[in-house]
Amino acid sequence: MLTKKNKVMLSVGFYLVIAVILIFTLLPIAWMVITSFKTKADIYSSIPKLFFKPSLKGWEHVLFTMPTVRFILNGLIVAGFNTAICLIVGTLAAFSLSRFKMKGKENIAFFLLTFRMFPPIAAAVPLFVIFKTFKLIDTQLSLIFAYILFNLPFTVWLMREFISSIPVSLEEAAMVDGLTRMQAFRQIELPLLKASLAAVGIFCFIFAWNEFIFALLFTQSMAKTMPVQISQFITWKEVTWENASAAGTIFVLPVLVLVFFIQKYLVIGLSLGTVKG
Amino acid sequence: MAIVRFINVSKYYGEVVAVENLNLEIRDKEFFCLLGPSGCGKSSTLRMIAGLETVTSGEIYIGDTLVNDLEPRERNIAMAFENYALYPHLTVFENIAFPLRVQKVPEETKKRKVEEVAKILDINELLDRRVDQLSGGQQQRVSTGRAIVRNPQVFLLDEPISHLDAKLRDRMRGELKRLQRKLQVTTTYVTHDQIEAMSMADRIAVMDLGVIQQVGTPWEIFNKPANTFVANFVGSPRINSFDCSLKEEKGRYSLATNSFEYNLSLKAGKLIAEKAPFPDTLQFGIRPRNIGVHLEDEKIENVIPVEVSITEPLGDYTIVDLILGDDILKAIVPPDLKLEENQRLTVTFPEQHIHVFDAKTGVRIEM
Repeated sequence: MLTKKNKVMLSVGFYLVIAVILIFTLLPIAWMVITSFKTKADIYSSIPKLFFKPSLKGWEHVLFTMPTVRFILNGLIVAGFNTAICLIVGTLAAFSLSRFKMKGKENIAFFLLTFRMFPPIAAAVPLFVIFKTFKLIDTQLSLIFAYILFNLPFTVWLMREFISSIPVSLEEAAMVDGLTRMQAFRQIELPLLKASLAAVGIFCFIFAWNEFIFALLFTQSMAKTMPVQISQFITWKEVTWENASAAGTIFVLPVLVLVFFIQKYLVIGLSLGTVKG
Repeated sequence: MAIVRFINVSKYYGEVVAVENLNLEIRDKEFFCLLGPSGCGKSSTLRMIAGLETVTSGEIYIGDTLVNDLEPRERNIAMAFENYALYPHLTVFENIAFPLRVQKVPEETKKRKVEEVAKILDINELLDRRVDQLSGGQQQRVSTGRAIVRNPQVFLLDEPISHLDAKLRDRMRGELKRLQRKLQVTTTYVTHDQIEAMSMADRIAVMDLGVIQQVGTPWEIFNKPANTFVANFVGSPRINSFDCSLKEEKGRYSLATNSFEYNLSLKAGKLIAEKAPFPDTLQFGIRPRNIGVHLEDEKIENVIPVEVSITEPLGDYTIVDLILGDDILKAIVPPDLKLEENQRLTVTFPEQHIHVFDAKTGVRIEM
C-alpha cells in the first residue's frame, strides 16, 4: 500500500518527468518562434537574447516576397492525396490480408513491410529516372507516387493489425443479418476503425508533409514543398535565420491544427485493440 | 419454418477433415442440438447451414432450396454467436433493429417489433444503452433478440450461453427452450455441454472427429448409446466401463472382467453370443445412477463385493467411489445413505441398465 506521502512524491516525480520531456521537445519550437521575430543583429548576438525589440522582417519576407502559399498548398495536396490513397487502398488490402484465407498471406504481408525497411535514398535514383521518363519531375504527382511507395506498406501492415483485432464474428453476424461482405465491412467494421484510420492517416500525412529528400530531388519550383524551401534559406553567403524560422513556424501549423482536431482518435487508435472481443 | 437436410456433406480445411459424409435431417420446428467435444465438427456444420463456410462436397437444403451456393443473407436464417457479436458502435435498440434496417422495414414497424422482442427477453429498459455497458447475460439476450426479431426459417445458435456463469446458464436453458416453443422455429443449437443438449433438445446429434456418432432423443442418447464414445461423452459422472469377455458354461452365460464376473440371463447371453463379432473382446458399461448399492448383510443374489474409497456428498445425491478389484467404480447413492471409508458393501447391476459394446469397434451390442 502506498502511503499518502508516497503518493504525493510519486505524482510530483511524475509531473517532473513530464515537464523535462516537454521542455526538451518544445524548447526548439519555442526558440524557432522567438527567432522568427528577431532582427539579424539579435539573432547573431553572442549572448542569446530573451528580451528584444520584435521585428516582422522575417515574416514579411516569407509571406509577401516568396510564394509560400504555393509551397504550403503543394505540401497539403501531396500529403492529402498520399494519405487518402494510402488509407483507401491500404485498408482494403489490409482487410483482405486479415480476413481472407489465402496461401502465403503472411509472406505477402511481410514482403510489404520490407518496403518500409529499405532506405528511401536507395529508391531515389531509379524513381528519378522513371519520373523523368514520364515527365513527372517537378509535379505533385511524382511526390504522391513516391510517398505512397513508403506509406502504403506501412498502412497495410498497421491496418491489418487493427482489423484483425475486430472479431470476425461481427462481420459474419452482419452477413447473416442481410448484408454483403463489403456492406458489412463498410457499415460495421469501418465505423469501428475510425480511430485507427485517424492514427494511421496522421502518420502518413506527417511523413509526406515533412519529407525532404524526395521533395528536394523531384521538385524544382512548381511542386516545391516547404521543407525544401526552408533548406534553401541556407545559402553559400549566409543563413537567414529570421526567414527560416518564420517559414518553419508556418510549416508546423497545419499539422498542429490537424492533430489538435483528431487527438481524441489518435490516442484511442494508438492503443491497439479498440474493440473488446 | 423449414426442414434442414444434409446429403453426403463433407467439409475439409486443406487436408484436415472437419465434417465427413454427413447425412442428417433436422425436422421442422424441432430444437436440435449438435453435441460434441471441441474440434468435432459441430460448429463447422452450423456454419455451413449459415453459409459462413463453404461445403467441400454434398448438398444442404433449407426447406426445398439447395443453399450450397447462396450467400448467408439469401438463406433467411438468424444466428446467435458464442461471443454475441454485438455491434459495439450501436445501441441495444439499433443492434436488435439491425436486420430490420437492412430489410428496409418501415420505421414504425421496426420500433414495434424491437419493443416486442425486448419485452419477451425482458430487456426493454436497456434499449438506449450502448452494448458495452451491458453485463454478459444482457448481451446474450440482445444477441438472441437480434436473431428473433425477424422471422427466419431457421435459428442457428452457436454455444450462445457458454460464457455465462453457472446460475445464469441454468436459467437461460429454460428460457431459450420456452422461447423456441413459443416461436416454433426450427432451431439448431451447438454445444459441448451435455447438460444443455440433454435439457433443451428434442433430438441430439453427438459428433466426434467430423462424424455423427448417434442421432436420437435425449433419452435414447443417454439410455441407448450407440457406441462407447457416446456412452462416455454423455452422463456425469461418466459411465463405468470394464473390458470383458463372454463366457459360456453349461448353458449359463456371464461377462468376465478382471475384477468380477457378471451373470447374464439366458436370453441376454444368447443375444450377445449371436450378435458380438468378437465375444472375447467386449466392453461392459453401467452408469453410476443405475448401480444398486447394498449393505453387506442384505440377502440378494448376483452381488459383487466392493469397498468404499471416498464419498462426495453433493446434497441432492452422493457420488461414491467403490474399490472393485483393481478398478474404481463410481456409483450414485441417495444422500441419506451414510457410508464410511473402507466400509464393505455389495453392488448389483440391473440387467436392463447394463451396456455391452464391441471393444474393437466401440459399437453397441443390442440385447
